[in-house]
Amino acid sequence: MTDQPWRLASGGHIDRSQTLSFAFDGKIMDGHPGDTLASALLANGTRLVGRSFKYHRPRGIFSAGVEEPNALVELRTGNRQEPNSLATTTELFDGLQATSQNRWPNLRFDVSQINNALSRFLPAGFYYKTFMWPANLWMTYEHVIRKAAGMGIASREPDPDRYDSRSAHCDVLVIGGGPAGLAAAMAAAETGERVILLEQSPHLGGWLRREGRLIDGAPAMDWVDAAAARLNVGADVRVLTRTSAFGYYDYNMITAVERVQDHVAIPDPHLPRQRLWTIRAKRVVLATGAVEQPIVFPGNDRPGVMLAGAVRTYINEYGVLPGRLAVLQTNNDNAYRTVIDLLDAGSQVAAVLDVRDPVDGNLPNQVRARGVPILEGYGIVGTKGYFGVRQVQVRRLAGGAMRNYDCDLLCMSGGWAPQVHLHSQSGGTVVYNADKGCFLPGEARQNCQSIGSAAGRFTLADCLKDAAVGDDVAEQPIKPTWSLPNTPGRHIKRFVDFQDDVTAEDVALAHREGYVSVEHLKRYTTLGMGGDQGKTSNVTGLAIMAELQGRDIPAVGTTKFRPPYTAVSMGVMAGCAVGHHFQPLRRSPMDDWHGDNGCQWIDAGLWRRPHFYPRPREDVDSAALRESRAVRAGVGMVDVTTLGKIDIQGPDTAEFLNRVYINGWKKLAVGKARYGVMLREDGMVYDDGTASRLAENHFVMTTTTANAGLVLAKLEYYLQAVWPHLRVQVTSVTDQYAAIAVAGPKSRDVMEQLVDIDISNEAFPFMAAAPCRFVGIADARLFRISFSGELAYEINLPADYGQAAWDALLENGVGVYGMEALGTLRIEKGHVAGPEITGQTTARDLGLGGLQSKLKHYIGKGLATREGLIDPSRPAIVGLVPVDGKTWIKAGAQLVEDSDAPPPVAMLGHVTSIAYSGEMGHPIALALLSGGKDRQGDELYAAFPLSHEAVKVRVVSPHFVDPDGERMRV
Amino acid sequence: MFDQPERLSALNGVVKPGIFGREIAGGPGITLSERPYLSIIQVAAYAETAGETGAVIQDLIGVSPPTEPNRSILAGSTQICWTGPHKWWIVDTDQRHSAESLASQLGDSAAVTAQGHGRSCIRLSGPNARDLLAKGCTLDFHASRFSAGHCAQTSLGHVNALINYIDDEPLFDLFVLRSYAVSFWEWTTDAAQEFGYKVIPS
Repeated sequence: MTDQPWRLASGGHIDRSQTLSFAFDGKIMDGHPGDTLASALLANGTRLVGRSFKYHRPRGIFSAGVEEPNALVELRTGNRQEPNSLATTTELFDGLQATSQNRWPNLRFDVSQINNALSRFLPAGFYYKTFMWPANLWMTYEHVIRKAAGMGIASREPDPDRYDSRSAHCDVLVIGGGPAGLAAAMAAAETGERVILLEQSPHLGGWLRREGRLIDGAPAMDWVDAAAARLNVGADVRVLTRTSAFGYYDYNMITAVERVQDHVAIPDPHLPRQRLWTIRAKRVVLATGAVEQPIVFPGNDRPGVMLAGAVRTYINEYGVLPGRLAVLQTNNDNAYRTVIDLLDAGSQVAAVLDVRDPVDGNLPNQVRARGVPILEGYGIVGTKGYFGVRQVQVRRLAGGAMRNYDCDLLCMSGGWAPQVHLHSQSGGTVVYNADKGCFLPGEARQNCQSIGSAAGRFTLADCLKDAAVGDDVAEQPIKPTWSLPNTPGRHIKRFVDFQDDVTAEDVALAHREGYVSVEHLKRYTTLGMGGDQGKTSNVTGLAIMAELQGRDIPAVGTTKFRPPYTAVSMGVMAGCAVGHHFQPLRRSPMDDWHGDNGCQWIDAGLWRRPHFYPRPREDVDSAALRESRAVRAGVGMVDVTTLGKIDIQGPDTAEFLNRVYINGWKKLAVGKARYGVMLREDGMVYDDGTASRLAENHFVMTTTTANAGLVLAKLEYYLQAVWPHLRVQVTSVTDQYAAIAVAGPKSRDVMEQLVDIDISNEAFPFMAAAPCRFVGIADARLFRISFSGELAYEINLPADYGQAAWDALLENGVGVYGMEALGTLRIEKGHVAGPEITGQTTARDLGLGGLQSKLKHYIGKGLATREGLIDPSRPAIVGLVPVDGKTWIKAGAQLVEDSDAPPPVAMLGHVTSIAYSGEMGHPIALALLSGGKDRQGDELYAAFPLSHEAVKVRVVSPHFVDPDGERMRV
Repeated sequence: MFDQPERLSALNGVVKPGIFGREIAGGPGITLSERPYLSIIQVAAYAETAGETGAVIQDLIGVSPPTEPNRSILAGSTQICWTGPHKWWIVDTDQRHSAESLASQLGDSAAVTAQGHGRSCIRLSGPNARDLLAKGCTLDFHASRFSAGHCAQTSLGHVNALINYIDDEPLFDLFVLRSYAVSFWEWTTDAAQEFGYKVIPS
């Protein structure tokens, strides 16, 4: 066990009976359960904890909470390494490893401290001004600057821990587990309302843990314990500690992070490390408390300079003495409690400097009575001590001689800032109160209410309301004071924002350069842009700005408070939606078979489909060639379950289809299928597919895989909003049926063995559709439709029988093919698909203009006849073959007349789909070519400038194979 | 002639009985099972035929289908869920109500569509059942808001789902599209890890 020289013998909410071992920059130290990393470091006498962001100045622990600007460390190692963790809120656990940041090679000797010596050349906006020219070198500068200005290093390994999210609803959400929040939660719970109480720290009690206050005449923590016990028995009360509300959105929605296992070394793998809560509350009570504000003075950033309230916290909550000889700078009575606590804990207090004159309050007089000199109307004008404050230089604010006080702890208090962040995020206004010297929540826009310190009501009586009686003493008014000047002729740095190294002089520079708005001030100087979001600097910065502008603070206003209130990890935002949980995967009923038989997958929206089934040493092209040749030579099958299937029923179904497709549907006989094309309202092609008439008033429509959901939504929209009088019902049956296309000249030979109906060409001709039994499977549907151009059938089966049907076809010698071969077969036929139906092509462009009925109205008809859409020079579908008969044409290649012409080159169109045609024995392509209909025989170049390729191509008909469609009809 | 082959549910081979996840002193907080091979018949009527359609369903099943949105009725083993204006699901463990006979009785007054093969159903129960739903869905599943007679169509674990309340255990039936079943099972079991979960045979 190592010594903890600054640990008090008693007091604090820590467990001295147990010792936790931890390491900081490799040095092993001890602490106790209940410690934060910061309190344990202070107990061990470690005051230097980091280097500042820009000037690399030594910095120490400044606060005891979420407002900490300095004590940012890298926590843990390996794949759990996290930069920019606050030592002041990190709970100590055994084996914790922490590393200081922004220093190289080490904390005491950091080469970048040269920036401090050069600081007069590094004003606000330095990087913007200096590295603007030449612009193309910024990429180089940026790399170096970012490295030097780094804010810790994150692990590059995958995060091993689980993150999660959930929603919750309640009547009353209380944010903050201090005295005000506890009193409000109890009051709500008593009425039987559903209550959620959030507390960011591990324990309830808030400031009551940090001061030796009395409630109802007993130690305040007794009241806290009783309150927690009462809340715990409520069935509809949920108390979440270690949970920070960080965002407040519309409709009273609050987001919060629960740090479920940040306080353990190795998290239980079944539990999330952190959990994101999305809470919707009828009413929100903001009991978020207040954060103490500093007073800016020359030399104010040395280790050992600490907020007065933080000093009380280290003494009372953690049993740690932050210093043995202290000086306090204050503008209010409240900070005198720190002097009393320091004296009680055995420290000496050299002097209290109070900007007020005279000082004659209850608390100051208690301090005076204990022999501590109070210097009225005094302020700090300088400090000494490189790695920790050793001396303060003080002077009467009105002028006069400097006096020095030795000290190892410099406490300061500029008053308290209510944490109005969530109130402001909710849309509420914030209003400056000149008497209290702080912004208060103004009018709320949602059903929320700020109470206690968060509303600027700092007394226990205000927090507890009727719940209990506190021990308040009367206090003199605060004297709002933001910064103390340098004495004439001295230029000691006065830091406003410690985390971003923004000084009062930077604010003055921004003012001189004409920045008027606080939002611009913020962006120019980076004031308040750090992880602490300016909790101890924003108000000071804008107050200094107001002073320079000669305006008052309300006139200057404040920057917007935006989420997150405290830093939130990316991991918890992603939650469990990582890896294969990122998005759901849709699987066909034959998915297992495809995988078991070695298919290569290809994504199709959320579905995965077999791309090809490679044999040894086959690549995608050779596999697709083999699979497609097998179809043209015999028979093959492909899983087409993913195609959209929409069941359409009702007396007006034929009329409805007549309106949504460009071709006619009313005369389609029962038992027949038809190819149909849909347009968007603007006349462009939306989707294509078939619809089959199963009964007079019952059709089943197919769509492309990609558009299945969109087409259904569109049909529902037409029925609900455009033609509500049509009696038609549409419903997706995509998942209800497995679908298999069986294609090839021998497909009938196989199929007639397996179905219970006559499928001779006479009884079941091309485009026939009928219900049937398939290998004993009832409720199957058979369609004689063909995408491959061969004699082909599509069989639909109730999905749980899909694999059985697939197996039966396999047993009958049917081979399988995947998406690549399917593509080859359709390209050989000139059938359009996704690469051609792009939303920029018309039916005429795609060679489908002949389908457009002149005898009826249909969606898109009006705009399809726009001048631009019927222009004969529009790109139209053509086939391409390489003139040399062998070179592959690249998909996406641009069609040009002359491959050697200097740019700009007129582009005549582009290649949409490519394949190697087994039937033709050479590569083929489909393309959209300007005026393509009349260019057959022309020779052009398919140019692909990215790889300096240009293939000479001949324009041909897009129907490469069996142009008259005889094979499908045999 | 062929014999009708065996049905193969989407979760066949995926749902494996056992106890998984975090060890909980009082036993797993979640119990899961698949309800395979259900009959699901969707009946979609029109505003003007809603009444007669409801009467036909009542004749067949013995209860009138709910007219209030997001409500369901249990009649023996049959669940009737409201799934849209004058639109219902009739869910049963066997195929006693056939889509064909219902369609012939209803004629043009309603569209009848079989959906039993198109959906997978997971039965969720246990003391943490409502917590598990809250992990995948933003609806309020508190007992005062979602209890007897309630169903909801919503997004659950990134997937479209119909959630039907069965009883106070609490017990819910979760219906998802068949193609999402494996992904949904993976999400559900992952979400259940922290509560400890038990998978029981169908």
